Amino acid sequence: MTVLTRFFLFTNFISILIASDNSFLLEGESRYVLTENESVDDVRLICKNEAILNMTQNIVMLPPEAIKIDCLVRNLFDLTLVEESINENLLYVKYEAKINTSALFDTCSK
Amino acid sequence: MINFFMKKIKDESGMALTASTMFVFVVLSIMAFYLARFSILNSESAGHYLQNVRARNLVQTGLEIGLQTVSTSYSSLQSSITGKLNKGTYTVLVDNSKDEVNSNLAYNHYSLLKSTTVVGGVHRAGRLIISPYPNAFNLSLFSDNQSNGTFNANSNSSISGDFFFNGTISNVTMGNNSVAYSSSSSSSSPIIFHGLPKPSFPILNHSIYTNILNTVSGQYESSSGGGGEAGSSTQTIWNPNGGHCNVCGSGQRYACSSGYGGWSNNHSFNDFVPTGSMVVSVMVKFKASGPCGGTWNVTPSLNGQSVGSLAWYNSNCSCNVCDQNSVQSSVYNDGFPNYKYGQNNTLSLSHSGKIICIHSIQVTLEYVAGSSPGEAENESISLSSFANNTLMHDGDLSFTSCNIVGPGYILASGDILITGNTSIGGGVKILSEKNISINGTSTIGSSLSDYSILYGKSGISLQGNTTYGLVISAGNSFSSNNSIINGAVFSESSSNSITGSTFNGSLVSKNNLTINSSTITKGSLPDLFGLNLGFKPSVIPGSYLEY
Repeated sequence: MTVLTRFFLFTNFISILIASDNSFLLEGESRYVLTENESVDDVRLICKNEAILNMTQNIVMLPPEAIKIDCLVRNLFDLTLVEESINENLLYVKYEAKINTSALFDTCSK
Repeated sequence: MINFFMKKIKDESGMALTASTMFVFVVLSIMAFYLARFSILNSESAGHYLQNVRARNLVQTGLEIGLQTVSTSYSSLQSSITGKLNKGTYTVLVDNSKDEVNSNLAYNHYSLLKSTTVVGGVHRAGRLIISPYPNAFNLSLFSDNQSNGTFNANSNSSISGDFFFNGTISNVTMGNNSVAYSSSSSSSSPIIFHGLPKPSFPILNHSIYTNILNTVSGQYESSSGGGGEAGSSTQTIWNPNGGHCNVCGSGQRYACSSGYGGWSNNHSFNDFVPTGSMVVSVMVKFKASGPCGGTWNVTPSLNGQSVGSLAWYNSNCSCNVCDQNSVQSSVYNDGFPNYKYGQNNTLSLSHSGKIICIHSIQVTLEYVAGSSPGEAENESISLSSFANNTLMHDGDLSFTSCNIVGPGYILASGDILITGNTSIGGGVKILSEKNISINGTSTIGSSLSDYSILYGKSGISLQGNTTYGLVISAGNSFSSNNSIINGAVFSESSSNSITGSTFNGSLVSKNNLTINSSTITKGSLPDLFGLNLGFKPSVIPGSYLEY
């Protein structure tokens, strides 16, 4: 067995391990129209929370009303800002986060 | 003194006694010599006679060995079997064309079984004529009449060659040197009472044929017969009405493999290819969201036939997306297995792995102008192109004006219909679980040495065709209308009707027959030696000869 073949098999193995990760990726986005008196940092925080709430809208296997929001928020991890832009007065943010599959479909489902 | 001797010398008295004594002695010596010689020859003759008896016994032993071997290993007898027994040697062989004086055998299916022996320098030989068929086939017509009917042949019919009817014969037209035997003791000339024991109806080992028929499976897809066209058609066979957000467009229609949205593993659809077309490949396309952070493994199958396998990876599944993937089957030139034309078909999903939410499943069928399963028209078919030289079809099978070349098998679990100008060459065994019907101007086999075999479990119907070979009809009905049959016909059918037909060979029937305007002539039959076709061979009565 050549080194190249071993490397290939190892890579496949790692890929399978990664692919079989038991976490579920969530996406959420939010938009906010800025006014003159508002702090951008404050608005970012508002948008972040809004994007997290909107993540429930994108879980294809469960309707939003079937998800306990508080539970979902508590169990999120690896929250990442994927995209942020300010176009004229419009602030746009997109966040990704992970949640354990069992937490999503068992603990946090009504 | 001298005178005394001279006198004695000249004295001839007693001479006669001496001479006669000498003569008697010589005669007795000669007789003793021949007596001794006769004694020796007689001893040799006795020894020779003993060896002759042994050689003759060994001839019969050789014939017995030959008879036991002929059913199981005819080919070994063709190259002769030799052995030693009782200080002698024997050689047994068969000849399927010539007799012991190199004359042709009476019929094509006869074989000469010859045994030659040498014991102590004494040579002996004996022979039998054997047939691969039971004794009843030595007649032109045999009817065991187990249905207890009366022999029914109109005046336009004639029978050449001895025949036997187990019942009363009221009237029959016989050919020259032909005898009609009846089991009725009140028979009068020209019908002769057969006496006891009566010839018996042969036993056929049906399991040889039924075991072959039990192997029938699958559909025969010819390249003709049904018309149709080439192309492909796509149909959405599943578009679930579940979900809470949009996947692959608006409408919130999807279902997830977790069960959400009304998931199902089985999806039925009606055949949607043009009539007469043949499906050669199938593609299954999934529109979905997902799989949800991993791999979804799916193997779709159509009516149990796998289309293929798919390992589909996706990092996420969310609303407002449309992921797509598909599975493409192999191309089946003889038709996609198990596809049901004109009927309902079922696509089944066997899956594992991560969850997926499917918006819809589309099935694309690629088809060619093809046949209806089990139908062939105007085709040249070589059985050697089929697995095990066997064309089989689970259902009714029909050939219209086809040219079929053997050797091989044609098997059907349903009826077999051979029609038009179909030609089936020699070496083809045609077996049906039901009925075989042959009509038109079809020909089956080409000669008694290049013949075919028909086996109809529910009966055989011949009309207007020519057949060379062995015809076996079980079940309800055997009928022959305006047909020519060269060979052996064996019918266990309850109804036997022969009209306007010519039989050259032998017709053996379990039940009564109705014969109209037909001719039955004793003739040669296909030579079945070396083939296990269910009949026990027999010795031609009176054929034993020592030479």
